[in-house]
Amino acid sequence: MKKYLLLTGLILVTSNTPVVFAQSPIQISLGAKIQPANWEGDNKKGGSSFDASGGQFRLDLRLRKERFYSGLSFQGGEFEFDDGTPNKVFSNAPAAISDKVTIERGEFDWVFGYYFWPQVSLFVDLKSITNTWKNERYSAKYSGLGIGVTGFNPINDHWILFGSLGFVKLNIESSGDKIGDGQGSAFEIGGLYNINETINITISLKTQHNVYEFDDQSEQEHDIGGLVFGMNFTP
Amino acid sequence: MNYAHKVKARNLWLATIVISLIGVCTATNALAASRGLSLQATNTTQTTTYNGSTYRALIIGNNQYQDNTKRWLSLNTAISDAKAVANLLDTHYGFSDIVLLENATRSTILHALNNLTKRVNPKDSVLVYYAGHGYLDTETNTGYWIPVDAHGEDHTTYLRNSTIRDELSIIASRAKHTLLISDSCFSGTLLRNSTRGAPPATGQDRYYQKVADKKSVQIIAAGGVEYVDDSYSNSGHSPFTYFLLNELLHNDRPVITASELSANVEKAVANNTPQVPESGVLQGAGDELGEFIFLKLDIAIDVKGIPNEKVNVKVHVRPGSSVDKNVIVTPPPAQEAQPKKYRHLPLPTL
Repeated sequence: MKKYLLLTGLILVTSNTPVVFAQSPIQISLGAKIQPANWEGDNKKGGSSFDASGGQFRLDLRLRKERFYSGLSFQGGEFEFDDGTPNKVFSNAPAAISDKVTIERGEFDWVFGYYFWPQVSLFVDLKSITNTWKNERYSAKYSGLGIGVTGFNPINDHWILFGSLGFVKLNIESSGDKIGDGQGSAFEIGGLYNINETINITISLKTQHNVYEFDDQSEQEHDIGGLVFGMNFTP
Repeated sequence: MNYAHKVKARNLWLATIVISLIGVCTATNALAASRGLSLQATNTTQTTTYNGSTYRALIIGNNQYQDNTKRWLSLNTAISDAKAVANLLDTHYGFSDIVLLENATRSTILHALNNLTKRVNPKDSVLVYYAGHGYLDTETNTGYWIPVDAHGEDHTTYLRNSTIRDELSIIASRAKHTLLISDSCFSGTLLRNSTRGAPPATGQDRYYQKVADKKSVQIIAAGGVEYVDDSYSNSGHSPFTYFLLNELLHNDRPVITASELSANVEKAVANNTPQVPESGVLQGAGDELGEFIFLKLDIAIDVKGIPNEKVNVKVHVRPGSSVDKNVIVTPPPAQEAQPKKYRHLPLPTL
């Protein structure tokens, strides 16, 4: 408790900069991203690992008012596992008929952030991930609250370096029942190029690392990562 | 390499990047300066208006002189001065039309002045700022701005004061208020001294309204007929612009006139450096003893001064933003406030 109070105090003291953010109405940004990604991991119990490649598509809506911002993000994609797949915990669903298993992955994020410093902000993320085993009657939902830090640094008039890092605690459910807990971390670093005052493009590297502990004592580790290509529009 | 080893190696790699990222993000924006020629028009989402006036600015900073005769050596602070002025006018004073010229040639300056003239409307307030070399021909007592393509002693490649006056007179004939701020040697040769009254202790609202209604064509110059310094106390700014920015940044009143601004800047510069800034009016350009009015966005407008209904500015008081005017703090934060281009950064997710 003491260290959290200390951290809060440190944030408040150091964020009291002489910077005055420009007065402005609410700014709305729309963004679209694609991420050819690799999904690999380990079923700890039994020791089998899994590996898949796939891609994700993401849509962002971001609102910003001076130091405060908020946004919604919807992301979805499919991953095809050739050899090995994440175990279906607490599932009575039949095993996959073929060796190839496809998992549809959907992510939803509701983000609230605040620029405590001119180029660095802290944010909270209400996160939800749903993995659905395609053609099998099984899905698992991972949802929880995370916190993170994000920052940027302009390189010149057009290029901006940005990055973010955060951690999330997850609750795992399947068929409406809680089946375990998890925790994850995410990291992203990339560059943004301002084409003009309203449009920019981004390229970044993003990785997510999640560890799940299920109520049946089994554990899983998941890593999803790859390059992300995006475009943002701010009218 | 098995999965556990891969995870370990990846975590080490990530930790290294995270530490680098934090270092980069908290560092000052040392790489941001651009030395190339750029012409940039900015449209802010919020504008300052006073009796329907739109605020426009042409900001010129010349560092990189191309003169191979070495008559005009490069300067160090003119571009950072220009950028800081542009940023301050944008973020604190609601200028909605700012054109920033870096390393401008004679032709570029004249084109920019010409383009500005075309955009000006009758109620507008127009500010032109120049930082760069200046020159006085003592034989003919003619002053010049020196563009970056000026060549040696060839005066035809310079920008003569009379040309600047002509261009400003055209702008002034179309605008309500015109203010030239010139941070160059011998810039005092542009002006004719003129005294305007200080605002009265009471009835300031009537005073500001009165001077805002009258046409003004004013000049604030870094020095008289003298050389002025390029750098002040490692601030990254010339002494004149340093104190100009300081005054505008730490001004704790919602309204300040050009005369009040110049009086404060002149005093600060003269107290700290050998040079003495001057202010006055542009001869023959129709000045009616009006005043260029600066409206600060982040100060409550209803403290005192002009009536609320006269000012169409959304105001906001940031807690703890009041500043002791007698204390000179750090150099003006050219990169501290967030420019508009950083407004659409990617949404971070976990």
